[in-house]
Amino acid sequence: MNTNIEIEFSNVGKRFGSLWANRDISFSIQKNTIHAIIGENGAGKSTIMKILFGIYPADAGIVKVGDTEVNFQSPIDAMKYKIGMVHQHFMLSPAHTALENVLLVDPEQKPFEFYFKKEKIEKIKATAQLYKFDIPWDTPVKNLGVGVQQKIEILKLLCLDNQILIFDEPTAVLTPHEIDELLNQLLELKKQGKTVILITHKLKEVKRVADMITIFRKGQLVGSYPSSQLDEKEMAAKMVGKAVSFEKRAFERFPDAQTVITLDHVQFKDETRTFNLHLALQRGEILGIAGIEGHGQEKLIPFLLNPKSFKYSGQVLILGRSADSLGNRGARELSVGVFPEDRLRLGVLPELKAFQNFVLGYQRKSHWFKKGFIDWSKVKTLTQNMFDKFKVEPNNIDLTFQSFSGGNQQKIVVARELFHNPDIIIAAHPTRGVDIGAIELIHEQLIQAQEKGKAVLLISSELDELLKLSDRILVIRNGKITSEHGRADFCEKAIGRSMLGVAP
Amino acid sequence: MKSFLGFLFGLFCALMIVFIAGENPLTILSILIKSSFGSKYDFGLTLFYMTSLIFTGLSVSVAFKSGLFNIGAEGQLNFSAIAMVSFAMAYPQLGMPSSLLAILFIGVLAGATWGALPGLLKAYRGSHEVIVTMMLNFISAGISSYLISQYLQNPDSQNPESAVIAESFRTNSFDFLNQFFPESPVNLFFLVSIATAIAIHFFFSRSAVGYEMIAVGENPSAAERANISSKKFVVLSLTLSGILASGAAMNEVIGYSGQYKIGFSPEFGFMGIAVALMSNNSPLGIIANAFIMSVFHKGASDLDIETETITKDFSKVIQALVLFGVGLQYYINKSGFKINFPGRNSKKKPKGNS
Repeated sequence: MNTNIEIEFSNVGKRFGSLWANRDISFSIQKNTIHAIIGENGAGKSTIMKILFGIYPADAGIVKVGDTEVNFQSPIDAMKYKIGMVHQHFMLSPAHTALENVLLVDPEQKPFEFYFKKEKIEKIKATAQLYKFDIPWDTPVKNLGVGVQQKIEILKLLCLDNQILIFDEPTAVLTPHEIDELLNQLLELKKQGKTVILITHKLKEVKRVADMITIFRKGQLVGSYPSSQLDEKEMAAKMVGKAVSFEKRAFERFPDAQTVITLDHVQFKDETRTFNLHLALQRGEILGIAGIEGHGQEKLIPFLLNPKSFKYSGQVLILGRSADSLGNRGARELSVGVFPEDRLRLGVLPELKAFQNFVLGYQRKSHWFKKGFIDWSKVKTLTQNMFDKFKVEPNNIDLTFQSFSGGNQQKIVVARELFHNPDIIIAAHPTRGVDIGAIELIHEQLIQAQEKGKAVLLISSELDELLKLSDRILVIRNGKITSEHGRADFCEKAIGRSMLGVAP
Repeated sequence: MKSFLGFLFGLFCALMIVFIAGENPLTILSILIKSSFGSKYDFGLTLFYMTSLIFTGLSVSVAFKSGLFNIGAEGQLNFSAIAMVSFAMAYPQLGMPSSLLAILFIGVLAGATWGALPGLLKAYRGSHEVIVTMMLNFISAGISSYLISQYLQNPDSQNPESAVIAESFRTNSFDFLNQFFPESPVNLFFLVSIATAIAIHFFFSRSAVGYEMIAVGENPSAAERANISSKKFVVLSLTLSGILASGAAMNEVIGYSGQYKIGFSPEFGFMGIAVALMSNNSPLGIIANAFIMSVFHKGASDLDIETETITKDFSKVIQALVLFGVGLQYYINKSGFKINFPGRNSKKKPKGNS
């Protein structure tokens, strides 16, 4: 058995300041397996892999690759041991072609040597064929989709003859179809004798491909399990430390559905494209908006918030009022809450304290605003109440916003937007960069709002989230609504195809 | 006092330079102290400088709060001063109290104009406020030189300065503060400056407009989403900046000399930048740091006289070093840097007094 061990961690620890990001981590990874590492954000799963890849040196413990004890000081050391990592954000040169990008990573290349060596190109193409990669070699990378770009990243590692491949959240940016393809490729890599380490928090994928699963929670190891022993529920429970419900919500239609947002053949333009939108959002409904990142679904938010700042044709009705009749503050005058698409950039003042962020956008609400002044002691009390209700950690409203973790930051934003009990909630990527515990809480809030007869517009790039919450899903592609799917006939594949613009 | 260690460090470096220059640091220190506090007259002069520095420090810091760098406080106070003197010369017959109210209004208006200009250009034309305020400094200096040389020159003086404005435009007649400091220029505007700093403190910590102004400085895109127009606030905060800078002009013209002297401000506008930075834009901190800076400024002029090697410019050297020390401390505090005391490896004790 022992001879089969590729990597072994014994009591490895990593400290940042006084905080242990990893502590006493001991587990091993078998040769020629797919080993999944799962855990919530901040559980330490990426840290341990960064130690293995030499990005961080370990502060305690021993890492062994094969039989040799190693202590990598940089990724270059790790590469000598044939370890490669596919990062979450690709490291490709957008102006070069796919082939050039792979050629670029040759450690033996000399400064004045000719780049396009025939045998090298042949070797690359042969490798691609071996692993069944289909790559348009002569297209500049910037014109390629994320799925293909990821393949190029993987191919780069394979051409260096790496034996151990680490994937950091590889499916975060992919469409369902591309995810499918990637998972097959991982299985192919295994078949060819590679060892694959997969860092992720998507349990479905883990279940499908992994042989072994190692679970992290709060910087500690929960355990390593053969994947046949755990189902998704048990995995989630071990990640969070308590049972997690995966039940889809019960759906009831509101009989007297009143329309709160109407976009009647609305057309407007931004720098990149023309939008054609025709939709209606009703009370008691969660309307999901799906689409590949960058296809304009996020533009809906500024448009809905202030249609007058765009030149548009068609008719916009928000809570029964025509957009033209709204003042300069646009839809914000009405009862609308927004979880912004980019929390830190659009939603908050990162360097100010949590309670100061709690009034942003609502600083002139009568709850605390009187004769030009803000009653901060009242704000503090109300913020503290919301902190308790949403279980924000650390429970300290005097900390600066940026010192909270992603999940808690989002909780603060959600708390702020829901505090005024809005009739319309526009939720953009409500759980992006948020851990499982907070995801559940935020989803619950959205469902509760829906049950109370509020209308929710849910824009998300997580198809699972849309499928779980929405009553209807609209797919936006290139600024246009291409299809509508009712809850009764949700089909992941069909939605995925519609997102990609492939005919069914 | 978050920045006290940094301040001491800067002072220490300055004294070391003095030492290298061949003077005894302790002597220098005692000259500095005597010069600033030695007599009622000296102390009054220190407070007079302090008044102007509070105003310019506030001016710079208000712009900083909304993410703008106002290096035009010098031009703003200068323009305000020349506007007030010109006005008083044009309507010498105005009587109290309308005369005083009118000249205050003109001073505020001139400062506001000189602040609003870069604000408008930034908000609606995208011009960078640093460039524009710097150019406006030169323009206002040019305007005042022109007006003095062509129209306002005091016939009884060989210096480039205006004649003294009518008594009704000045506060001297009822200035009770000045009576405590005979002969010295400190005046009622000292109290005004302290009150202004306190008012600005409450403006930022309590008022909704202050909050919105900070929001624009902190994150313009988020502010925009929260329906706070960043354009409006760029104009507003630079206008407020200009108004605050005009306080330094009033300190000179209304409160003290009653005339425009070319070069009356030893670059208060720029020293205000140092004051604002040292205080990390806290209005109450500005009071303290303006005091420190005025002590150095006052002391340096006497160093020039009392020592052989140190010249007046040494005030700038001290300012720079103190600013450097405070900046260093700020950086250290922010990065959470800790010093291990030898022999106590197990328990680390944080350094600093934050």
